[in-house]
Amino acid sequence: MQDKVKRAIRGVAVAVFWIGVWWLIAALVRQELLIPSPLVALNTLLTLLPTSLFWQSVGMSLLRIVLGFLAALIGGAALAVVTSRFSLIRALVAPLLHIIRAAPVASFIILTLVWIDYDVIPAFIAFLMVLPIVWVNVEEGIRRTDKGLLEMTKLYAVSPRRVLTRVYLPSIKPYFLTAAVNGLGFAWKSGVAAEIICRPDLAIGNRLQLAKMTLETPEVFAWTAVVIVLSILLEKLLLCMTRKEGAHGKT
Amino acid sequence: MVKLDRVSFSYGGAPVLKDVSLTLPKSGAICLFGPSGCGKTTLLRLIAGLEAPTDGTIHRKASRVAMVFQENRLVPWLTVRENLLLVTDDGDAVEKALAAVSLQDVANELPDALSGGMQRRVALARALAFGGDLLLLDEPFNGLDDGLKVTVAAALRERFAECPIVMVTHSLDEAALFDATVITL
Repeated sequence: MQDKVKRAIRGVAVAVFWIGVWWLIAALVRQELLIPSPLVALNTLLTLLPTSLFWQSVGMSLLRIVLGFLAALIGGAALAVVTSRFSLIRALVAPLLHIIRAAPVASFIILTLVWIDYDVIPAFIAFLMVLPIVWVNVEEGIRRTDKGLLEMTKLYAVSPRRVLTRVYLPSIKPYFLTAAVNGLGFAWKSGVAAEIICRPDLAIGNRLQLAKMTLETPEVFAWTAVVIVLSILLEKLLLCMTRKEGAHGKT
Repeated sequence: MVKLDRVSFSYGGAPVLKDVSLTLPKSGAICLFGPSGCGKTTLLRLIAGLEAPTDGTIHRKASRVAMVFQENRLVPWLTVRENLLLVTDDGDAVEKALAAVSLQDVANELPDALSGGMQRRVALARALAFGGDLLLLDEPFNGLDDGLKVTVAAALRERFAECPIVMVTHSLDEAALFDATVITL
């Protein structure tokens, strides 16, 4: 308990320090257009908070990115099952996934602008960025499943369903959860980047881009703060869920 | 019936077994005896059907094979009882097996919470709970004290009274617990 309090105090102190640095820079520059003070950014955020546009933008961004993320979790895991079983399919799919991992996100966003509806692009980009992470991790989990245990289940003629639920899934779970935690950050960043470029009507990225175009620098800061806070909250939520899962799943 | 006819096995080009012929009795035990690396475990794995011979044939009519591997091969995230229930749906057989190896008190523990000897008993209990018509034992009593060896051997002999038992051990005393016919490789 004491450790928790100490950690919290230290966290607040670090935050205060960096806000102080921001404040100092803003005071030295003295140009709101270049860098608004923390107070100005906070005031702008407080004016945005009561508007329905703010909540609609946040809600729609969350919806798109979380949907893309969930689709990638399912798709990546399913793909890993297939590629770990069929080497030919793996040989075909692996280069594609490596290209997706290596290429800049912006390239895919610009490419998909030609093919897909603007509203769907952020979800699709989040899906595309997280898919290889889940695939690599789950495939690794499948490969590292104890061969001795699998041989034992074969000898004792354990049903495939039981082997899946009691041997494979618990064995893969830590790899899957790691992929989920790592992938969420990627989904969020790439999804917002896609929103900035393709600008769907209700989206944090669009608000950010509009603020930039109209030189509303305090609003840019306010929306960036929203992106950061939501990213931290989502990550905390997922970590909390995965810790609970770990305790139940005995992994 | 299990019959091996001039069976050979090579691993990576190196011969491990050559022209082994063996017919298992309908019941009773045989013990494969010999120095390390002479192919005892490989022969056991061939009988189990876990390896295919590079030459010769194996006739095996046994449909349900129980095996205690050299390693315990327990599922670490399943409790002791769940490990047994993985291989059988017969709850009574599981409880009897746990009692036979004196593990009822730790049935809800995970394997990692147990000592090496206790984990060995779980692996033995799994074979007991499963039953079957052929029992294969690979150095089954590693880490067990003499008293437990006698008790567990008696439980195994009772459970597999009507079928062949093949064991690999470095101890002739352990082979004697099964009245096993010793075959030196």
